[in-house]
Amino acid sequence: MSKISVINLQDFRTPLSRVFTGRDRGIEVRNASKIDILEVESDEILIKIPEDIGSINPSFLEELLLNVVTKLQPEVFFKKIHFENNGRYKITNDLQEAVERILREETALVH
Amino acid sequence: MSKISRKKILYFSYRSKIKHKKFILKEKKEHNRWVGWLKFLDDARITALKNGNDYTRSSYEKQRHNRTLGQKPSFSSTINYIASIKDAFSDNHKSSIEDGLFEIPEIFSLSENYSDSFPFLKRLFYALYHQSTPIIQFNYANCKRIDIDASVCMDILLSDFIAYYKMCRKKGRSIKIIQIRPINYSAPHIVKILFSIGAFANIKGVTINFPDIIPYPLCRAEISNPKASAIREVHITQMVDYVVKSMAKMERNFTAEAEDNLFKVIGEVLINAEEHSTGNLRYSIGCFQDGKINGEHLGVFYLVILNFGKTIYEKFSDPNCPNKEAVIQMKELSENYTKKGLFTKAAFEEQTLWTLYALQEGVTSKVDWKRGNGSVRFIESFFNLKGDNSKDNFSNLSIVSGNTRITFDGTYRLIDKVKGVNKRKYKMMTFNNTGDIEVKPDNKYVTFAENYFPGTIISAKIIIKELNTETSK
Repeated sequence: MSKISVINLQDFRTPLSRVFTGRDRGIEVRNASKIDILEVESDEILIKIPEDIGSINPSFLEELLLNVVTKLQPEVFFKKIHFENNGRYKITNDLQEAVERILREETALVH
Repeated sequence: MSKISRKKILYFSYRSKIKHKKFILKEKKEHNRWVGWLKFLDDARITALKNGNDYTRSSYEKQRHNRTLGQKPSFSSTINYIASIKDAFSDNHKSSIEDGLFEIPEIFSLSENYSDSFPFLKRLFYALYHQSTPIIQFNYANCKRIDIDASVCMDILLSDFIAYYKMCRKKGRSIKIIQIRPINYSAPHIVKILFSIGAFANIKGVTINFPDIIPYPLCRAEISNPKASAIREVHITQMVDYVVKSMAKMERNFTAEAEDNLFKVIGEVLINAEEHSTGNLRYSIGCFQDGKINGEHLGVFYLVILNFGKTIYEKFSDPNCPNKEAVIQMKELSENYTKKGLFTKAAFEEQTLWTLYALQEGVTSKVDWKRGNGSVRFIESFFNLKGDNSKDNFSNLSIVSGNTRITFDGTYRLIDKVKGVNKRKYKMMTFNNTGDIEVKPDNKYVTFAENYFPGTIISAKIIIKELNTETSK
């Protein structure tokens, strides 16, 4: 039987806030949720997004998922990490952008 | 033993000798102080003569009194920073005569009338800092429009100085300024600003409710606070919720996508204000105005976020800038400009270019982050929030940092550019028709401003059209 770990973002949410934003917060939640360890120990990870969340910034996702995406690469990442997203806000585009940005090594100033 | 002989004993006692010695020392000390004071006055007179300044002899008693009061309260970090920058707001010097009458410019706006508004702020700063006059009066008689960016800067200066004066008075120190007051402010459009998001609301806490304007009061956040990131999230939520509530008054709701865009515009702007700041405070203020343009029901959202401290360019050009890689790339690109002779003094300088570079995708001054926040992101969300891609001659977003002014109004859009070894797609804002960052941007939108803003101020004016909203249920 496959082992599924659950990360409920509600547990890492700032009280009175409806947003997850910024790299600093991404790092904070990455460490607090132990997502990198859970990824090794589990077959799948389910990340639950609170229903009343208004937005999740790609910079936050970038830091939260940095090690997992780098290790798994997009193909395996999307098979192993799932998001439960039942509220008005939809994570698809931001997640896609975050994954692309993680894999990018350069900046727009490159020739 | 008689009373007299007892006193004689006391007079010759060891205790009385010590007391006498102490008295002599105190006298000597006071004498030395007086001599030192005369020497100081003489030096001050000679220096004033040398520099051609006026010399007024101050009183020794007053100086002695001040010494007994203990340490003078310190100015706020914002005031200290502005005072340390000679050309802050304007390169105007302190005038020798200050009558205390401040005519508010006809258009008081840092983005649209900077030639009058910046010198106004500079003169005000000098008057408050040097306490050059006992009464300061703000005359609104000729003022036709007040923009939040100028109004908030004035209010920040006033509130910091007023807090300082209060502290001084509490400690018994005399303050020359006895009154700061507005005059001729009865025009409805002035009253509306002053009592909703202006001085009365921000400094005195006196507000009036207007049916068409919903203010978001001035909010200060400490960047160095260990919980700054959590505080930022709460502030973003408060600001979005405030706009959502304002929309509800129009019996409209944001679509989920529009709300997400609003979160991103505000969030990215706040993050940028913090990332590029060297000051300790981030200020934000806004207001929502309900109105109709050409028969269409519209909401207009004004937002200003600012910080005082090093400018974006100063942060990158600092030899201690942690992200050396970004600096090397910027230097390479600007060398091309120098070779092509594209830099023109006081019109398009290196700092103008570097500020534009700093906004491009992936660029950050922080070394511990692999990538930048992608400031272009808030530009994209800003246009999405507008509801359509067209230029509406009203909505705009401007970034002023030091002498650089960058304005987005929809004329130039973000473009996707494939670059680098891995041929990846980047979002770029080049402000030219070629889409090439190495080609000079349109100087109408990316320009060197004569007046220097001592920090970074981002102001946005967004029309929220009905197509971005849905009817309230």
